[in-house]
Amino acid sequence: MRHVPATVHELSRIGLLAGLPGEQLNKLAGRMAREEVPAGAGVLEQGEPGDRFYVLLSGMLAVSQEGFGRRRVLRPGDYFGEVALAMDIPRTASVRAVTAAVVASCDKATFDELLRPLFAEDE
Amino acid sequence: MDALLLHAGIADSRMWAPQVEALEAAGHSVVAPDLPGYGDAALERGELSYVDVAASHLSGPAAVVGCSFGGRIALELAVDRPELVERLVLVGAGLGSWDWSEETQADFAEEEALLEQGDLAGAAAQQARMWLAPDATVAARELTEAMTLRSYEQQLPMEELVTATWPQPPAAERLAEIAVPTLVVVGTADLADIRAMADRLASHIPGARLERIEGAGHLPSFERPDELNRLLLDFLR
Repeated sequence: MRHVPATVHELSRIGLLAGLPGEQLNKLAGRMAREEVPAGAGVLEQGEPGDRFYVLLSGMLAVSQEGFGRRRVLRPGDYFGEVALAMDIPRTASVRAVTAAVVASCDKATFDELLRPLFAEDE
Repeated sequence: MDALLLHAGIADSRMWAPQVEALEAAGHSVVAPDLPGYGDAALERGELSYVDVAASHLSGPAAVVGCSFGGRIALELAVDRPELVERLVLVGAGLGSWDWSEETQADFAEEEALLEQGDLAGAAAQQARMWLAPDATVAARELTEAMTLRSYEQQLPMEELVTATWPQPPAAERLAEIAVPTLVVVGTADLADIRAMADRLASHIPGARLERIEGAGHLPSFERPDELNRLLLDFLR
């Protein structure tokens, strides 16, 4: 898997981040690592500790929870991983790449500093 | 059920978006890779076995769904590696060798001529006209053109450097050996050649069921997504 910073252009297409001022988006881009995920590979595993927040830049991911037959599909522009970070609990779902995908992720400190306020506004 | 979706030769994994959504929602675990030379998957010089590539995405028996070129791969996989294929779905599937009609050969020649002139966008547009139903939506045409153009960009620079290999003897000569439940799907607006291939597949694969999707061309996955989803969900239940 290659790790390179995400670009501001890529992040500006994520709906959640559209409200961030340019300066903060720049800061976030520098701190978000871009990863290529092959089709079929796991990104998150339910029950594991969660320490990163993700946005989906390209491809399709499937979200599944043990005991639930129905699964949700994530498309470019969607985000995931915020529940474990916001509530300080293990991952509540597994996420797997259906097609080859590109995600960008940041650590908890960056999430707390730049992104947590976005979720607070939603509530 | 695990499901592997193998895209057409004028497409990439994006063609399956409506099926990924429907199958995952029903609890199936789907993998829809870009095959080498398509979408984001680059070609590497040397020999290339698409059947091995497909097998590499499976850790055990799965439903294998292939469209067109992907259908040929699914068919070869079912014959060559039967332990990996639990159900087989062939959508507008290709057979390895076929005596193409003069009309289809003329269409292939037109694509080739455009590519030789370096008109990749023109060739992609010609392919969309050739393969989609005449009343296909603008969105369906644009997606087909974008996926085909992407495949040209991936494949043309590598054309002389890659040799595709296939199991021998080919599946087309071993259809009677296929012992898994098989669904053959074809659009009523697909090429006459492809409709004839579907008839042959359905009549030579023991117990195969043939379903026709009214008005669909070669890519029912997004030309008639609801109809294909209904057939898949029913067959994979």
